[in-house]
Amino acid sequence: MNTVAIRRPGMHAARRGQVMRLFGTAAGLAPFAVFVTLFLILPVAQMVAGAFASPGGGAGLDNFRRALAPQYLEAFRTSVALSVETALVGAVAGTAVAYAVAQGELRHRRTLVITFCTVTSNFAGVPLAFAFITTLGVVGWVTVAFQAVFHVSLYNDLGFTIYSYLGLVLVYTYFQLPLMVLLAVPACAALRREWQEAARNLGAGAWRFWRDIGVPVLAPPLIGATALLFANAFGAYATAYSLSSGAINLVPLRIGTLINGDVSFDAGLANALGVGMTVVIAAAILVYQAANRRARRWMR
Amino acid sequence: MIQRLVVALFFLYLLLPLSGILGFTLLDGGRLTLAHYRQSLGDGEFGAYMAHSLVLAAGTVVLGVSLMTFTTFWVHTRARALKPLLELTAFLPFVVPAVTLALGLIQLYSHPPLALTGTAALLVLAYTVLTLPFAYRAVENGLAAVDSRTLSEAAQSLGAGWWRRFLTVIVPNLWPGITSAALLGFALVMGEFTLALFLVGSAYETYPLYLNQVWRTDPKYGAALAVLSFLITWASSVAILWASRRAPGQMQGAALR
Repeated sequence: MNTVAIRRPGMHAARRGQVMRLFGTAAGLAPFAVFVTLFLILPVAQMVAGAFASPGGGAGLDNFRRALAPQYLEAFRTSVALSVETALVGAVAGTAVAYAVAQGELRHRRTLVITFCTVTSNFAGVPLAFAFITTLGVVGWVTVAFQAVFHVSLYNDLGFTIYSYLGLVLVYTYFQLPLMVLLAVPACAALRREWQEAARNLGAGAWRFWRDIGVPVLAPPLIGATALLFANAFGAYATAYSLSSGAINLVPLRIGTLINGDVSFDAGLANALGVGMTVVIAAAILVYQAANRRARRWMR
Repeated sequence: MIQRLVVALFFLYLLLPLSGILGFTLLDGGRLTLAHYRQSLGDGEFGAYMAHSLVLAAGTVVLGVSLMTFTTFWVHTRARALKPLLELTAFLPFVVPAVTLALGLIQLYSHPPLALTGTAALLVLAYTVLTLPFAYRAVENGLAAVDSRTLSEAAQSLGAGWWRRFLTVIVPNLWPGITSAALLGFALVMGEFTLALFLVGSAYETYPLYLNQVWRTDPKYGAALAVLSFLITWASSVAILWASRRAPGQMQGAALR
């Protein structure tokens, strides 16, 4: 081919044009490629490589072995429990609200609810923690009012504190709920009223309708949304940071202590925990993606 | 009836904490006061750190939106085969939570040749990563909605070069999507805590870091700054809704946790 090209200048020019074109196309992609490589791919690669590096040099599983110590396993258990619980509470309550707004009695309030959810789903992190502390903290007005009305102290008699696991459940639920509503409204709206009428005309009762149509249509998007809520809670850092003051054992907080502390600095261990965390989140996102692909059939 | 009750309880749950923080900052010994909010006016540190956050937001929005708009249109017109790869890459930040991104960035950029930790530049770059998913969605939806191919080919047949087509035909048509992506980016940066804490900390203190620090010494003032943060989020969310009414199919930004 080469010899032919050399002998025929026209073809040579055409090929050079092709090469130049390819070069030009690549040049346009370069800024994005360089950026993503430097600030997304390499950091993740660094974490993975660092996790599999042995403290004495070479590759090994030492970091992972250390990450399996009881206090870190406990952190994973607590993080998973917190994420599962708040995702489920958010999913059930959020779906109920979404159904009422998309299909039920409150259809005329849909825009109001969606606007409200868009705003509140972005209320998170440190300010949200403060809002809960000023409401349910030791001197929060709900705490004080509860004592005044029931003559029982939430803190002294019932052992409640906002700086606890239960406190975190309450705060995480705050941002899970509106997010679920936003995800579930389109899903519930896809369940068209005509289907219900058609099913009734064909002699199906409510139970038959839900078993054969309602649940199969709603299940994929709602399962996907729940998986997204799980990932959302599992990766959260700021909210937990300002509420736990180190007392609650969560994976993101553990990683934070390992990379920020002077005494406790241990990048290898942090990397191993980070890999574990990424694997859990990736699994949840895969469920979300798979469920979404199925759900798209019914959503316009 | 039950449905109304459920929705009412839902509203109650989401409004209750806001009532707490508003009461805490607006009431002093039973009297209404704006003193804790007014405190910010005479606080030079507040002004400086708010300026830091605004600079970071501007940098992130400009970098993220222009990088994503340019690249997405480039792939659409010159390298269509790479579209799935671009889509996957733009989705990746979803899988990487802020703590783990910080973990990787700290190890890579706290020493030469690229000693970037503690600089505003690194924070802008990290925030830009977080904006990729929704910036891509906004541009991609926009390109699909306006039939960019036909538009672009029509402009080309009239003799417009790539840049001319991009800047005078495509970008104006994508404007609603670009606006909402920019607003999402703005809201994200104004509230982001985790990356700021680990990557720069006190070297380039941001507004969210400052309100957390103030809270420890002056809770009333800290809470007032938190309310201000809610107001910024609220205003951006309303603006996003308004912008996305003209650019349907937007995804919610949920990276503030």
